[in-house]
Amino acid sequence: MTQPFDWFVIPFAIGFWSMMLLLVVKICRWWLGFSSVDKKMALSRIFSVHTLRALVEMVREGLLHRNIFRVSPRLGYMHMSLAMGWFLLIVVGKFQTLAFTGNHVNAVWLPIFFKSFYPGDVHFAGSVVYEFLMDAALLLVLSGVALAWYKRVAPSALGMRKSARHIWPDRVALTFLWFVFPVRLLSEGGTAAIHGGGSFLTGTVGAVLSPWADLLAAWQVDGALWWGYSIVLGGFFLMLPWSRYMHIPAELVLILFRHWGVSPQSLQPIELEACSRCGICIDGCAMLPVGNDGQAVYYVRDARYGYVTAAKAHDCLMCGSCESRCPVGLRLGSLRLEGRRKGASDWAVNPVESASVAVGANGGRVVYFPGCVGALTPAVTSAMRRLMQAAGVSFVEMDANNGMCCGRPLFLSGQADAARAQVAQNSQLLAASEAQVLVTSCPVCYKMFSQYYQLPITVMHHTQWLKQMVGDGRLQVSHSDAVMVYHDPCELGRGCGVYDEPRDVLSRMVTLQSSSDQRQASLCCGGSLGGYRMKDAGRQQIASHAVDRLVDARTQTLVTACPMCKKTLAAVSPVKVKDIAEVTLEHLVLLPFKKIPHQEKSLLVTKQELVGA
Amino acid sequence: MQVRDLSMAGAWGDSVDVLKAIEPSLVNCITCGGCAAACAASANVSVAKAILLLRRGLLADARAALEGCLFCGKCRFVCPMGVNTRGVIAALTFSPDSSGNILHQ
Ligand code: SF4
Ligand code: SF4
Ligand code: SF4
Ligand code: SF4
Repeated sequence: MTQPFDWFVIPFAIGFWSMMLLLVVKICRWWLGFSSVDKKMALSRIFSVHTLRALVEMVREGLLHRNIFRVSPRLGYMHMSLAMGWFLLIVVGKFQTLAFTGNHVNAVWLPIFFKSFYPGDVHFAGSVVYEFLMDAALLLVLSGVALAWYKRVAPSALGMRKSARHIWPDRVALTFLWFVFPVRLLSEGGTAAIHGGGSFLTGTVGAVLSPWADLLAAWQVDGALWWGYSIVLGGFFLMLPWSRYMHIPAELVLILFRHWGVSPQSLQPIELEACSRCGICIDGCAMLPVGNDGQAVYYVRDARYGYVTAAKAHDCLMCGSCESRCPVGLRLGSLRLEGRRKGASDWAVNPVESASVAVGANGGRVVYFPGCVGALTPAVTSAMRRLMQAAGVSFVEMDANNGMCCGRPLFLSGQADAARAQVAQNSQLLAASEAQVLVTSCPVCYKMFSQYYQLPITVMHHTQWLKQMVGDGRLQVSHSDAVMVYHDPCELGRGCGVYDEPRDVLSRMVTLQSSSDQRQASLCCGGSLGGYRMKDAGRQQIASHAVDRLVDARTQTLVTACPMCKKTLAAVSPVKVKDIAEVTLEHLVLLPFKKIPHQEKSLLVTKQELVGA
Repeated sequence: MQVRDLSMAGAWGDSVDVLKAIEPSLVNCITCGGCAAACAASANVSVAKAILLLRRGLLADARAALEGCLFCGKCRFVCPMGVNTRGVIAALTFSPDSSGNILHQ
């Protein structure tokens, strides 16, 4: 059977083939950028269960958009209806032409312009079913388009506070996209009006237009509409690789390569293109109260087009909220750091003479490190010392002369080499000591020591240590009628997944309030080390916002577990802000005559002695 | 008779003006030295000294006074004047320009 042709398919064909060509070029470039280890890994997994898993995830995220449903069902429906409806149009269209022509290979435009080439009631095996399915799929897409229109005028209707601002390639592509399916409906409807045919949707539009059928035919309106359809569809395809819609193929490729075990570093260029600019990350961004435009979506967009200013790279608190919300699972923190690294000029740290780890004093196997900033919060450090004594833990304090830093601040500012030097030096010091357990009061240190050092010792945050001690009964606590709310520090919660331990300890002692901005959804206090460009005014605005969301009329104390959070929140909080160690100390029940080993002055510590001073 | 201009105007060189624009809080410094006392890095590192040198227009010396800084932020934590010390350090040392593209330098 010869393939039908009409000049109006040309705009579509140009758009389609230019898109395909660019996609192939992009995929080749991504592949060439992989390290040889990654390439080998990917090749070895092609025929394996990983590919099947990737396919399942592609359907789940690329078509059904399960993750977006979780954020907002209506937004999820919008994405699902567009993706699924369009996918069905392609698949059903493919089978429709196959059933009609009997050929497996047809001109690419045949399924798309099928009704223009074969208008009216054309009968072949299953033709009625195909027409019905095509109309159903079209209806599904149109419902998504209607929601997309609606979302532009009222983002909150779809569960979003803010909609992302778009740049011109996005706007052009978006405009084409908005018109593709309504114009298709009109083309098929107009054709049905003149020639009959069409199922429940296109047939109905045809019936409505049929009184003017003669006029439509005389003026060749159907032909004009098919031209219009071809132009908007081709236009969309032409713009796809240059706009945010590149995320459609990029996300699928990303899922596949992730399952094939390609390293995160190699995946970064794909991640930049897999962002759909859906804007979901904006709503959780800590910088919203100061109206910043450095949100992840804008950073990723600029990085994709190869233009990132220092302000874009650095105006971010690295709080991780965007990363935890992103439905595509983009590693937004690493992407931002990559920009900071590329933009950083060299900065060498001198070896720090003052850093030290006490060696085996008191036979101590437990090393306590308040953190460099933690060392400046005496209330917390002295509470921890007293708690350790009360629990009968012999410990030594790391870095008594305040000269140590875990290296994370340098790392977060893009100074990767200098940070590595820090890590190496501290690792050596720790190895030389007899430490077996490192307890730190700083979430930043905890993240760094537990995730970026290869230490042969156990690293704990003090919330985890408290949970263990209280759980074992080595620290006995009483329950008071105090009402408190807990603020999850970014680095401890989203950074290390420590959510339950502090809550467990606190709920044994006080009435713990819950909040809608807790755990994963916790708001950054604004004092984050990742954002050194934040001015004091902005920092206070962010902190006030976080406090407002956490504290209500019943709250007596705001508890946190980070020295930085404590200071930042305390500056603006209407209620007292305390560290979990202080709260624990206040609720400590002291066993009479408890022997405290390795305590020089006295073997007994009274509660007054512990709580006072 | 020529009277020497004793105001700070002009003492800050061009590049210092750029720094002030990036990190305005640096003008609040009273050189109390609190930052240097809290500093985690070696004894030579001092934000107070750096800001003092900046005021004399000695950009290179100011930079040298921060060599070896760990960027830990203890100085900001203790500063009584709310100087964003890390902002000053970053502006002076590794990201002086905030407008141009940093990916293709
Ligand atoms: S980074 Fe993720 S959440 Fe943010 S716009 Fe892109 S895809 Fe959406
Ligand atoms: S890390 Fe935090 S501050 Fe930075 S863009 Fe993401 S949500 Fe915003
Ligand atoms: S602590 Fe603050 S005010 Fe004092 S010298 Fe340092 S920067 Fe200046
Ligand atoms: S940030 Fe630098 S100057 Fe400030 S305390 Fe830390 S090491 Fe010292």
